[in-house]
Amino acid sequence: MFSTQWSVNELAKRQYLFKLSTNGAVFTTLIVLQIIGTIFISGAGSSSMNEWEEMISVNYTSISNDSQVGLTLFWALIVGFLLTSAAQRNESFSFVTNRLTFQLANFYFICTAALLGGVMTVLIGSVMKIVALFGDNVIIETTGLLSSPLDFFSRILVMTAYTLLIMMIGYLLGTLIQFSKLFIALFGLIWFVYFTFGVSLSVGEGDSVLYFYYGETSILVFVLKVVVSVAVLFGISLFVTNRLEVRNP
Amino acid sequence: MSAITLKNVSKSYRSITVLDQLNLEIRENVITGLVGRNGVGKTTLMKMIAGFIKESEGELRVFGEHPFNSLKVSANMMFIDDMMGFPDALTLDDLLTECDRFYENWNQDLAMRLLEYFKLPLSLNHRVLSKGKRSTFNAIIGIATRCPLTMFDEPITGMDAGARRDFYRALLKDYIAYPRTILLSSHHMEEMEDLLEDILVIDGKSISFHGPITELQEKFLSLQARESVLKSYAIRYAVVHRANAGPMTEWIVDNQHTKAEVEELKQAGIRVSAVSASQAYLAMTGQATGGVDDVFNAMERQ
Repeated sequence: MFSTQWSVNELAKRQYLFKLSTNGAVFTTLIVLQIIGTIFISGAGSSSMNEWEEMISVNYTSISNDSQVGLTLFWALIVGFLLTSAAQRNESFSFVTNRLTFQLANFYFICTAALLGGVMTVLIGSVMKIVALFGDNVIIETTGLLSSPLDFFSRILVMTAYTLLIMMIGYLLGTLIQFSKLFIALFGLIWFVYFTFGVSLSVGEGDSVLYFYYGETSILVFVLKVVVSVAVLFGISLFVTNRLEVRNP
Repeated sequence: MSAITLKNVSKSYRSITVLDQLNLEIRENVITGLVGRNGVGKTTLMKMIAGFIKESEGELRVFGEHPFNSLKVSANMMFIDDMMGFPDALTLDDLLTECDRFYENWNQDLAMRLLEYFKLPLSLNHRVLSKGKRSTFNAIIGIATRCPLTMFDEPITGMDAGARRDFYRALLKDYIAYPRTILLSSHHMEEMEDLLEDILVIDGKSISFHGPITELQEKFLSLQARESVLKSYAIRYAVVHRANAGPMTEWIVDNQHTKAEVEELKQAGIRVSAVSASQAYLAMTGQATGGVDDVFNAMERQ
């Protein structure tokens, strides 16, 4: 007869720990990616010069971590997608799990990765300030943790939210493609239609899907929007995966 | 009490039916051998029982639970095959730790000792193991988890003769110490027949025999004599299998003789003997007929 009984929570937690130990490479990749980004891309800050009738001239260089933000979001999409691979699934199903605990563990893992991505991307901004300090005669005008802590933490929050959102999108895309390869064709078609007609139709800023998120001025409403979106995305992948057959080449 | 119950269970992939209307009860704490030719659905049956895939119709119960998506079944079940996925990032040692995390009856000591005996270094990665070593490692996991339901799907793939013998022996010893329900599939019936209590033969989408191994043997008789003698005395029986070995011909026939008939056969100089379980199985599933010769003969005639 049965000897072992697990609760869903307990097993999801164990599967999550298992995922953490097997997917360390995910975090290493992010670190390497950010180092590369900082060294090779951010060196090219944009320089401008303003002159006022030869009396005075001001040179200013603006450094931004936009490229790191881009890299993190790109990384997020890939990680979300990779988590749905058959190999990941088979590894989890080599041990005790069902589809629900498997999904929950993935979700916990995604949250962890998103938090790390968010924190790292914001902190890398500080690293870049230090790098900039090595240039001579620099006056840095910036907001930091000490001068405006609320701003600093809201940056982390927003970056984490975006990373989470993108990761869940990647995850859902992967899940759907695992469910049926026909989705590849569908996504290709959507991509094609969007870039052929969507752009030429000159969709106004207010109509764009992305504007729904970045156009939001209240941070609370923004977070709410992201949380609801993530819940919907996760709900769909949960629904799709619940009938998925595993170890079935 | 039966560990696994199937009632009219079928499985089909789109239009292809792999298993058709199976009715089956596997007894608890018994080692059952699952045999059948390639592609008859042995693995499909095991994967359904493991809850990896879902039956298309019918009712499937493992310890009273429906296995698909059941945490209870997953926690008390181990399914070993050569497709088992283990993460690249972990060493064998790490994998044992994970087993300990997930399986309550896991015996770390036994696993370590078996790994040492089979010369599997703990620091290695599962991916770099040779085919035989990988099978050995998976088999060790299967033994050491001591799950109430343990299934091995072709566990000996790639193992050398010594490893195969040792594996069967280790499985039997641990089973005697900690009885559990074991399902074991293999094509090498002659190697595992000493281990098995029950046998389940799947043939052509359905079950052609399920019962104690001795019952399978009793279904057939082996008759040995010169072909002419056999033809004159034994032609009335249903011959399952014919083989020529030197001057003697062996026929395996359905065992539906009265005592008098057997006496008569013996009088005629025919050697009447029991068949081994593997002979019975081979004869039953038509693997002993050498029918592939017909393919080549037909090509030569063209």
